[in-house]
Amino acid sequence: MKKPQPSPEELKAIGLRIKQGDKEAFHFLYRHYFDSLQEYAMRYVYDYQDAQDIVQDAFLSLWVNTDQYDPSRNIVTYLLVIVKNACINHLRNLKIRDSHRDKIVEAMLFSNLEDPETDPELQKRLREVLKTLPEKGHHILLEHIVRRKKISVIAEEMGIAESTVKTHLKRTLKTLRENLLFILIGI
Amino acid sequence: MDKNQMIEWEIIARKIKGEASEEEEQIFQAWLAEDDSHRKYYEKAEKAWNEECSEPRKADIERLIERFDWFADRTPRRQAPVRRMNWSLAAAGVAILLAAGGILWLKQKEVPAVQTVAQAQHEAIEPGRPQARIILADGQTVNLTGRDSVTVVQDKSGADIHVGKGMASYKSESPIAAEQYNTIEIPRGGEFCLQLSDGTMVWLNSDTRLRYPVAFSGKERAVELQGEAYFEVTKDRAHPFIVRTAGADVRVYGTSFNVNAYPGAVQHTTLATGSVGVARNGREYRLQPGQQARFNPKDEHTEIRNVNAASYCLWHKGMLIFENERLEDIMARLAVWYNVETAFEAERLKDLHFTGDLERYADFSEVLRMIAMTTKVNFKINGRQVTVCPRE
Repeated sequence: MKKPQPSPEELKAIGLRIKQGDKEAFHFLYRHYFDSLQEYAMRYVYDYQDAQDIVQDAFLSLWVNTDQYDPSRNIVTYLLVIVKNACINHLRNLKIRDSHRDKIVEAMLFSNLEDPETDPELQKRLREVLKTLPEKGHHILLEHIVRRKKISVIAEEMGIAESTVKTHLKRTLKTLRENLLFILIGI
Repeated sequence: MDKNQMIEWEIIARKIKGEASEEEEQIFQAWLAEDDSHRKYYEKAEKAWNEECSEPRKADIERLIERFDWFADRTPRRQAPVRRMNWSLAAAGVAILLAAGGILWLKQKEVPAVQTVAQAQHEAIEPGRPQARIILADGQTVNLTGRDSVTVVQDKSGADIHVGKGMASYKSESPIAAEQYNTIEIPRGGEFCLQLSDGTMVWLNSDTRLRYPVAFSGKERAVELQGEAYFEVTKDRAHPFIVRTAGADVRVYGTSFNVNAYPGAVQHTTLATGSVGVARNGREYRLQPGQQARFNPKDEHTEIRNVNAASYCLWHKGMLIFENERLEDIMARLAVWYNVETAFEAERLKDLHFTGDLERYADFSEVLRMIAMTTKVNFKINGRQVTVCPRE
């Protein structure tokens, strides 16, 4: 089942309802963004359950602290910042530092969640990596990882063979692995 | 490796790709050897980076939403700006919620139930809020304000305590050698929620202490309680759960129930669901749902009676339910939650009875006005001293 991405106006209304403690608005965010946020956290913690706990905690924290939320801010970005901070904390507990902020870029790439509040330099790096990805590759990667579609479903939707989808995916992941390190640190 | 030194993610990434230099390899190995969690993380990172494509795992969003709702229903949101009602406003008549059979709204104007003695403006007496401190096995204390961001506290025993937002829960990945105890203390005007290592949930009321092992070992799961707590015990027939109080042992057979055991007062255990046995002096009283065992420390008398379990158990859901209860008992409960002192101008007032459902998170003045509406009393407030006086 494909959920259409909410429009900016829709998100603004959701933000206002979140501010008022409307549980339905929270449910809406769960259904539209939980998977992506979990994938984002996943690229930091590499553990399915840890990633899920981090995102769940972010929602609970938002519930308690709606007084801190300014509804003129994009609510998804706001949640993303809570998740990101929890992820950085998680790494800190493992004594890992991410001075080059490679993980942020990795997380944004794999989750398709862009944080417009990050600095332009980081966004430039993100675009740089995106440029290196093979055609169709990124689309398939996102369908598979963020929207959690099966290879067979993606193949059918794109009208290509399953093996072709797998090839695209493998090539994209390979390019990502190579360039994540190369480009990020190289710049 | 220096204890506080951090490793750059970049070095780990290079290691995964087999591109680490000799110097990086050394840093990496030192980090890896430092802690088991480091090794586990590296293995997972390596797997994630080398994974070709696996079938996606879908999160159970509806279940996560259910858990969110559960949390949201029990956790008040902090709202800005902080409500600061002064008494003149409070008395001017705010709509209050009354649930009696159905729900009806009453506009309250005429009853000047709450008077302040001093002319000075008073800050509203606010209800309790999440606050607690945990005393770890090594004697160190951790203060919890209920506003803590979600963090993990490590006890020397090896247990991980996940802390945040009015709740603490115990998780331990590796088994804990000897039985190690922690104690949680809730001050007057506080409340807190605790999840024990076996998953049992405990809602702790104001002025309460609970001593418990960080992980359960042995045949019994025993905790010691002073004060009031509502338990939802995880079922485990092989390991009965026991709540020890000064007056009795409550033996649990997988269930939810409330234990009220403040020193010096009548102690009572009320069963909501399942089955518990209350043991005292070698005798065990088995309770059915809706029954309550009462023990009076003054005359050492134990009695079993049928009650409305909700009125004793629903405080943890934000309700104060009184069913034909003595005003003295009611005021004692309110005093702990709102952290006030209470007094009666006349002895006979203590024996007045009140029935009603109140909001536990309401302003104190609203609660008092509710009581005054149906009971012939007035309340005088001086600072944090509340005096019940007769109304003709």
